[in-house]
Amino acid sequence: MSTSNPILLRVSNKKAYVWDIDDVAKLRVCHHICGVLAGTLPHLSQQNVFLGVPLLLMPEEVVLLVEKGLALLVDDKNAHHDPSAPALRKWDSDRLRVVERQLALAEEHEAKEALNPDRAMSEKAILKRKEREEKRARSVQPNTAETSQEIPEESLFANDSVPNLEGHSESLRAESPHRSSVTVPPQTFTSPYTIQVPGASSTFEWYDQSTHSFTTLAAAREAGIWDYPATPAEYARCGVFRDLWEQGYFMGGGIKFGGEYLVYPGDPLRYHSHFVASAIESPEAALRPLEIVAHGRLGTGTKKAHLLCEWDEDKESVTYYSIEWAGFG
Amino acid sequence: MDDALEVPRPQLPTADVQEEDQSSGDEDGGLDWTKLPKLGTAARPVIPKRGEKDFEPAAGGGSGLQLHVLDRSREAMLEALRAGRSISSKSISYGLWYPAIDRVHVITARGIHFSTMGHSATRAPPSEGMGGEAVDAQSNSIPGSKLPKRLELLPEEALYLVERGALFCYKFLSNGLPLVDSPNFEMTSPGAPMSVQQAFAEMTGRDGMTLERYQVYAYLKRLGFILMRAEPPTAEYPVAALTPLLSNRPLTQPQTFRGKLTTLFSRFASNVLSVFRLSRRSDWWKHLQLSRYRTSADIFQSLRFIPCTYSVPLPLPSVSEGKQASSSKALPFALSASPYKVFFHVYKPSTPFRKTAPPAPDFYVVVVNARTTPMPSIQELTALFDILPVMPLPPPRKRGVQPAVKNPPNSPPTDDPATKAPPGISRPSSTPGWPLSALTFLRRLLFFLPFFCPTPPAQADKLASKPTRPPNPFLALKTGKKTIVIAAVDSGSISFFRFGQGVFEEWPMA
Amino acid sequence: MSLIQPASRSKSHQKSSARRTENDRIYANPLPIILIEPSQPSLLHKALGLLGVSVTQVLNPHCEGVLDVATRSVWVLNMKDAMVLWQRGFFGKGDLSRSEPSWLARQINARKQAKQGGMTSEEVTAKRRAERKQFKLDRAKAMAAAAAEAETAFQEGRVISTIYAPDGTRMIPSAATWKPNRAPETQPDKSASIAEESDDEDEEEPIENVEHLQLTLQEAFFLLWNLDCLSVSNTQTGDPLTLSQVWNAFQNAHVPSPKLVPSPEPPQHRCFDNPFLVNYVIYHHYRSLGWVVKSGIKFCVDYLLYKRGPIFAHAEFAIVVCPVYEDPADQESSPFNLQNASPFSWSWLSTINRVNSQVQKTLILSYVTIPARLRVSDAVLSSPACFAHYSIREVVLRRFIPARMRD
Repeated sequence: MSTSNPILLRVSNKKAYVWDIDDVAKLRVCHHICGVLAGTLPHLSQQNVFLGVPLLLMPEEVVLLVEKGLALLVDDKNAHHDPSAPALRKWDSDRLRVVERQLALAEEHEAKEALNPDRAMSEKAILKRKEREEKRARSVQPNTAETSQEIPEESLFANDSVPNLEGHSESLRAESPHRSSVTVPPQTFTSPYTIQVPGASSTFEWYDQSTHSFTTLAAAREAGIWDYPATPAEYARCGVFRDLWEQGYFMGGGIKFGGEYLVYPGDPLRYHSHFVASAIESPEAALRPLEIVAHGRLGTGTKKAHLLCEWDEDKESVTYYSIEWAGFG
Repeated sequence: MDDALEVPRPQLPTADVQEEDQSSGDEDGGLDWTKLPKLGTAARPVIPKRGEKDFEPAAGGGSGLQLHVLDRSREAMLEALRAGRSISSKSISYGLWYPAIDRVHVITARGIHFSTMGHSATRAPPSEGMGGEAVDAQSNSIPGSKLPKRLELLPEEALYLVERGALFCYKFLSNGLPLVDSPNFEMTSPGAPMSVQQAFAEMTGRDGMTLERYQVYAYLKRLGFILMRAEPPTAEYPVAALTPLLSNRPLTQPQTFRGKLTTLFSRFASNVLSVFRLSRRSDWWKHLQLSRYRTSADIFQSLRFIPCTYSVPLPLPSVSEGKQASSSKALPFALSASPYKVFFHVYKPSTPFRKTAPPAPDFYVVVVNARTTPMPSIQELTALFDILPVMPLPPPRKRGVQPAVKNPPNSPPTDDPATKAPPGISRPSSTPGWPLSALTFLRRLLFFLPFFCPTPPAQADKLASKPTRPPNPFLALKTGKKTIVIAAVDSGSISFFRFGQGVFEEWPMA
Repeated sequence: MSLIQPASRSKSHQKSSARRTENDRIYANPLPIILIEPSQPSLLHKALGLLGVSVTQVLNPHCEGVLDVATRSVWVLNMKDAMVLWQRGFFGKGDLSRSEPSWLARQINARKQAKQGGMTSEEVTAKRRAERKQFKLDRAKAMAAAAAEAETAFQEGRVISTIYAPDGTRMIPSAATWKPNRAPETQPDKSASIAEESDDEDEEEPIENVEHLQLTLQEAFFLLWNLDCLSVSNTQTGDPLTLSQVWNAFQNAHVPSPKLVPSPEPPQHRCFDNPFLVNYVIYHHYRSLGWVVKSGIKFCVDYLLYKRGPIFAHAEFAIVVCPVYEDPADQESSPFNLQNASPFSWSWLSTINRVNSQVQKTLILSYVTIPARLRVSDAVLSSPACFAHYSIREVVLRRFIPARMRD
């Protein structure tokens, strides 16, 4: 993997995302940057343990990557231009070609299966399938909902209000001049085919980041898409993050463990974190006795030592102190 | 000695929180993606436990074996991330995103999602000069005319469905480009097709939908919860019922003037009572006259004179005294700008739910950005509690059916501790003479004077003796009277906390 | 009792229930004063009762203490008083103990154990820690060996289990499987020699108790003001302080001063946010509700609430005191930098909540309002009457785990 091309970080609402899976890999492998997966995995959409793209980066990670010249910031909202009419026509025709190919393949496959007695479905299965198809055909008649049985009564409204249904569309179109309501249900293809909801926008011809990219934080700040770091506390966090990163550590968010970062000796996929790090704004910042108690106790419970990382803005350096339960008395 | 006993005891079976804390979801990157079922294998995926990890990489970035295993883990993760959003043409829904109004108009609704998502909206036909844009019906509706309704999604609903691959969204193009008379959007797109990336970029940050709020929305949706906005974003948005639907609880809160008066009166009565309580301390320099008490419980009771209640408003710095609070800081009382607002009403998957008439929510959820927002102040928490109904106690665990604390039918639910006080606490009912210290309380009482409505004081006594004492005080103490859920989101990691309104005063230990 | 016995884990059920009964007897009284109702009320008593006056006999222990400004505590030097205060309501702590003043008992026990060649609980702890350390070393060694073995196998293209060695034994010990190595038994010799030595000096001198009971200022004021069962004297002069002198001295103890002597004069500036007052309000509130209130420093909170006392069960609740200024201007001009007077960060909340849920305690944020000087005159502060001007609002804090709340 080459590190020469900067990674494009898509920024919207002051958050930076990575959508390209290769970039996710590159960040992790080459730059020791993990981020947090923030999207739903489409094939495992009922759980929160494994999540999918976008990869959301911590602001400290973004600052580091941009300052090191490893990444660019893209104003994502503006990089999505409106497609021109020809571009849209092309997109439609490409899409339709894929659908047609899909249907042709399916037909071919079915024909093959019918010919091959060994691989043909058992009679029972065929019967069942027929039944299913009939049922579907029936339910499509009144309102598209193939799932209508599952919908509580009041939600039928959802379908009723959508005047795109066979049988209803004519009359509704008459009383509703509303343009977007008058679309007619798909008639073109009777057999089902698979639709892909696109994940990243890079496939769109009309997506163009070239005039919306920023190589420095200052430029991004001026464009109003990025404003981190702004406070002394944020500068301290960036300083501490960078210092730990330069020493080869991997970092994850540490708020649940009472700090800013969890500090890992290697990729968190394979290694446990050894430290919880909290960034201290300045050498003058006060340290409360209760914090020492808390971090000492927490560390013992979670097998992590607490790191107090004191940022000195003038010297641009970090001093580290670790807290561990001594076990006296 | 207690110290020795109070070292962490993770092995205890009751260590609920502990278990959760150690769960694999807690530590980012602690997941073993290699244990994920391969794409297209198991229909019902099992969430694997955290895999075994090494302490640290061997010198030089890891031994051969370590690097090999790491590569495998990374590959498994990336493969899972590459999974596309494929859906049959027979089950996909279609929508059109109108950035100007922050709504997606659902053109084709399929699947069970719409039984709990989306709402009906009246939209006036597009007017000339608006670029064909639909207009909010309120702005230019013609009285009496019947306007068409359509199904609309809020940004979070649309984004969630797009993310799951259940909705194909087109962006409405204001340049009038497509396709006004496009008869068939299967052939011709009715707008610019949107990727998930574009949906994230355009739909977050709109109409109150911060990324943090969206992440909480999606997190709870993935677990099957039903979410509604607490604050109706438009007039047509369905409003939740006010109180939990308990069989023997009045369905409506007494929001009437009379109801308010009753509430205020009982507050007043409780203040009078606390003055009486003080009477035992008429001279603040004297010790208790111990010989007047029969048991130590009596002594404890006579010591209860520090007001502990949410029913008295938090005193504000008085402006009437002519001196403005000379603070350079913004007053913490400027609650209107507070980020601590209930944003979602959340329903358990098992709660019977009607989209058009949502019941009272199971949870009230506030979402804040943990990086930029500190904990709520007591003023903010009080304001949150003020709008919540009193929650019934959850049924006790592992025991027979216990009656939950309930208000007797027809008695107005109030915040007043007097109405909920167990009969074990007998409040002194009469005292000869008004103690001097009561004068200090008169100022407090002035809060209520404008609303004061003379009602026989006997009623307050009656109120005080009605409910029965449920068996387990700890459950009540740990639950609190009202509960608000606050989700603090820090760069994608969500911490949920329950903030309960404490009721220690109602459950004395002695 | 429980404290001074060596920790042997094999107590029979009978014995423990006997101890429970014993504890119920020793700690029967929730307050140092004891009320005795006349068993056969006389006619006079009955008549007084009708008038709403009950006449109960009061047993007041009249304990004595001295104010130590440096530690902001009241020292009870008389052990009899100390035990009364500890056993009736769990007031104070031994200055050489974690809670109950048990230093003397521990010393006597240590001497006895040394004679018998047994181990004191401190020695048991030390031994357990040493074993734990050894276990960790052994485990680390085993893990390194397993890793090396696996690495070799990987290089040779074999697949091996990293958990079991080829002979089927577990390679990496767990806390459950690890056994201490009993090789060099030096312990018996050592204790034998000690036993011999101590045989010589059979009539050894009795150990002099050097421990005292420390009461926090809140505890002392609670006992003194409400129950009149404690008197506090000036360390310098030895004279008992009057109630109003105590009132002043306890507030002055929080004002930085070069001299560490009690100053019973009225404070120069009376403040509603004097830490003594703020903490007393909370302390008094939970005491008045019948809780045993102890310091929470070891769990990084302000107070722990025990239902009957630390002897009987673990603390159920952990209290964080959060002062709330009615008028923010008072906060700015305050000489005290009260902790948690401004909302703290979410990170700190999750820290203290994690610490306390590890030990099964529920976190309570107790907000105390500090009356605004614009509203309430400072003159109120000249007596405990000021307490009625504070108010408390409690917030119960627990994690919310959505996956467990689905039904």
